[in-house]
Amino acid sequence: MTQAEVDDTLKRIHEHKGVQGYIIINNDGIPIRTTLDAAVTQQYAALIRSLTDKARSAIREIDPTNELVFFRMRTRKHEILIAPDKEYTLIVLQATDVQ
Amino acid sequence: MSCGRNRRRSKLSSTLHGSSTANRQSIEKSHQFSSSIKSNHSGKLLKEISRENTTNCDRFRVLDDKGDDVTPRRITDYIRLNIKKHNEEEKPIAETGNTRIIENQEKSMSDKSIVSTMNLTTATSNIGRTNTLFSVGEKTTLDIGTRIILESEHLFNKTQNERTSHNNNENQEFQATFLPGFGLQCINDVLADTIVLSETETMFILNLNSIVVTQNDHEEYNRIDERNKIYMNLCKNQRGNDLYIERGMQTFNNAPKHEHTVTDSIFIRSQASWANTWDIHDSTIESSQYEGKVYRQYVIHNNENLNDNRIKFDVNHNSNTKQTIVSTQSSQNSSTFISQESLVKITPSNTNCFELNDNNKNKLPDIDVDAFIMERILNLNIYHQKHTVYQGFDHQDNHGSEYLQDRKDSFLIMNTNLKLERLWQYTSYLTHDRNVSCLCWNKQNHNLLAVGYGYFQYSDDKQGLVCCWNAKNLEFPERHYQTNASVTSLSFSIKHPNLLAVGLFNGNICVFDLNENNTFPIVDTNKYDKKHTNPVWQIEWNERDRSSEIDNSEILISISSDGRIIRWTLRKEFEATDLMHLKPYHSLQMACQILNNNDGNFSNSVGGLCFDIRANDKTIYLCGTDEGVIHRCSMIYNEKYLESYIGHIGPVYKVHWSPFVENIFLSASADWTIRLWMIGYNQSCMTFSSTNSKIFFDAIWSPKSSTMFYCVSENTIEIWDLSKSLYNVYSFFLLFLLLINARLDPIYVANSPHQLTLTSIAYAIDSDCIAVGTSNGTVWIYHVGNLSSSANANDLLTIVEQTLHSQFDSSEKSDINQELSLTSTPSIEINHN
Repeated sequence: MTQAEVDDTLKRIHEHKGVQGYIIINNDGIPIRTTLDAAVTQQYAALIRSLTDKARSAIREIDPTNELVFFRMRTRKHEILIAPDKEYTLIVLQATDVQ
Repeated sequence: MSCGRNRRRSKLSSTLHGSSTANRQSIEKSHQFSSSIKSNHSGKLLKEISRENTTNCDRFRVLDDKGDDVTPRRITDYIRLNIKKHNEEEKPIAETGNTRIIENQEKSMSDKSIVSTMNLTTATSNIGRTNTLFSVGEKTTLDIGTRIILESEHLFNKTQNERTSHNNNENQEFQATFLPGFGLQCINDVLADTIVLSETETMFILNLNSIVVTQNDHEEYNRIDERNKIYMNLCKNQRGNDLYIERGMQTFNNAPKHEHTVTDSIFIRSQASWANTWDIHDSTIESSQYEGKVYRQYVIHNNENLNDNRIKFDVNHNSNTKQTIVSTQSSQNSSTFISQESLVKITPSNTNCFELNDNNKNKLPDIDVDAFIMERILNLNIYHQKHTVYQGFDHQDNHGSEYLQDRKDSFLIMNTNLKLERLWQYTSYLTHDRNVSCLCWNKQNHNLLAVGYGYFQYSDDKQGLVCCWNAKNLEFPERHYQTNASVTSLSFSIKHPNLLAVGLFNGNICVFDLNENNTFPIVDTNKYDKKHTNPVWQIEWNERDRSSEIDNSEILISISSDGRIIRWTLRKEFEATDLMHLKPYHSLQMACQILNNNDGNFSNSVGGLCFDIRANDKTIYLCGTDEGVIHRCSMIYNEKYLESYIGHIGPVYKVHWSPFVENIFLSASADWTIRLWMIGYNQSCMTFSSTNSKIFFDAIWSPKSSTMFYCVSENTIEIWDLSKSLYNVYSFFLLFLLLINARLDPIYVANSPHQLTLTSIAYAIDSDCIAVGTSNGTVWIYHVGNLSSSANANDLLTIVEQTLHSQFDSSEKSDINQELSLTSTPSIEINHN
């Protein structure tokens, strides 16, 4: 996919129903791109990063040939969708009271 | 050393000095060596080995046992001749300077050192140029000791010469040149002491005899040689010999001793690491993969990003390879476990936080998969229930709101439970205000729907669009391709499901490959001469049945308004063969007339609008023309039609073989009717139209039930079920049916939303859903619920037969039995009309 298409996809994600924002962090937990404000982003980036690592480690402990593709946390207020990758991680927040 | 002796002599001279006061008057500043001095001390000096003027008297001599003179000669002996010359020539000039020096020397007699004498000699050499033995011209390099000897000798020689030649008093001055440091005595008599040099006994401290003997050296060489040979033979015979057994023995160990060494202090550091299961797994895989290669740099780079010293030594894997072969992920994970708490505070210097500006665009290409998945998941979140309905899972009735709300939009005519439920629509900004012209489901990926956007008539808007929608992502098409003309037909290949053939309004055919993300087709007929000149209304991939051809590859068949049906083969480029040229259908009489008048076959070509290949016999196909006639043709025989079906009075937009019964097909036409045909009869068996219907753009059989078909007319979706429609009425209203030519009603009619024109319909492959295209670019997905028990082939057949029976009851009764028996077996009929 070209860069333009990726940006297109991200824009569509942002405009999707219920989506509150997204964050893209790199492997060190540093946010590269975000649509939320700085404090929230920083918090999410740091916490989600370690959590994702733990989840990934757990999956691979059980079966080393497996790997974590997607990670979803549904909370009362919203749903946190995490797509980890080799170099980046994409985090999207979506409200849960959307049908 | 001569210097030592000189020293001794100086002391002696001082004592001498004290003793010989008689001559002292003039000796205050100078020393005088007279024979009196000498005589006083001759006794003392007898024991000494003193130097003499070698020119006048002999020095000591060394004699060996045989009496040879083996006195080691000195180097200075060889230069003596030159010195003698100097002595005669030169005259001491600067005595005053020397006297001063001599005074100094007297004071510092006690501690004479070579250096000080050397200084004196140099001083004298500086001052007394004439006194130097070594003038500029000579430049012989001698060591210090030798120089001192020579200089002292020189001076001694001078004084000696002068003494012998002059009186003492007169030679005061000259004698002043003589350095007292070098007290020299002249002893006239030859020393008679003999020195005997001999060797001491050899004391052997260690004697290691060599074990190597040569033939010349040792008398016992032969004996030893023989012994060696015997031993070698013994060793050879030892193997396998019963006389010899190999056995291990323990020998005594030598007593150990401690040996201490001194080294640099060893740097000790403790380190810890996690060894997870996947870590080990990764390492073993990578080490086997990249044997010998080392990916050191990447690891270090990652480790350096985290400013934590512990991490740098954090690798402790079970594999033998060193820390270098570590996958980035594992190293990341293992390292972050250690530094979890400190993660928040880490700020590497090179990357910035929050690069929200668009300069960052180059950094995100890898995230496409993530974004892709994310979008699907988001869709899933929202449309989850609809997805379940789509897949056919039994749903609860809590989403009753999604049913077609406006009851007036839909109504059931017959008493069935059929429900049409609108699930979602495929629309985006790309497709806005475009007319959907064709739909095609992918044969392999049943979620994929290709939609072609284009106009049925010529319009100014020349752009066409092809979008591939996926059921998993309802917001945006997975692929979209722009074409330079309106799209009029689509087809997915069966053998290669990633190939999509597109027929365009300008007669071109393109083939797109969905696997690659190009925006241009992989093949195009643009430059081909034999391409269609009119819009390509239908295009289909067909597998060749006959495997006698080169390869059982797929061919493409297209039909167009220019009256040609072309078969395309894809080798390097498109290659076309004309399958059929459509000729206008005339009744028998008219055909003769035309043939007489014209000699060309193609003068009145008629346009083809649709075709359908028979399922079981791929060489037979139907095609519908724009004059309303449907022809059955064969690919092998392209001269004439096999059969023609007359009935429609408007262009036929769609023909469709029944998937259940081979001989029956359906046709939809612009004359507001749908007709059912059976081969063998060139009149339609049944005609369908309803009060709502207008132009039928599309009609398809239901793959689930043999008697159901769906059609879309301008504003409505209609579902017809022959069994329902006919069954009730047949037995009672047979004649009635006859008379009104079987005007039936659809069992379900749904109006299009917003009064859009519906242009195409397609049935989903593994789901009970239909896709309906509209004229503003949206594609609606409807779920057909509560399908009653589906009818099978026989039902349809009986219905049709009965209809036929009744139809032809009035005429040609005798033929019915014949025809009926014929129709039940598939055969190629060649009717010459």
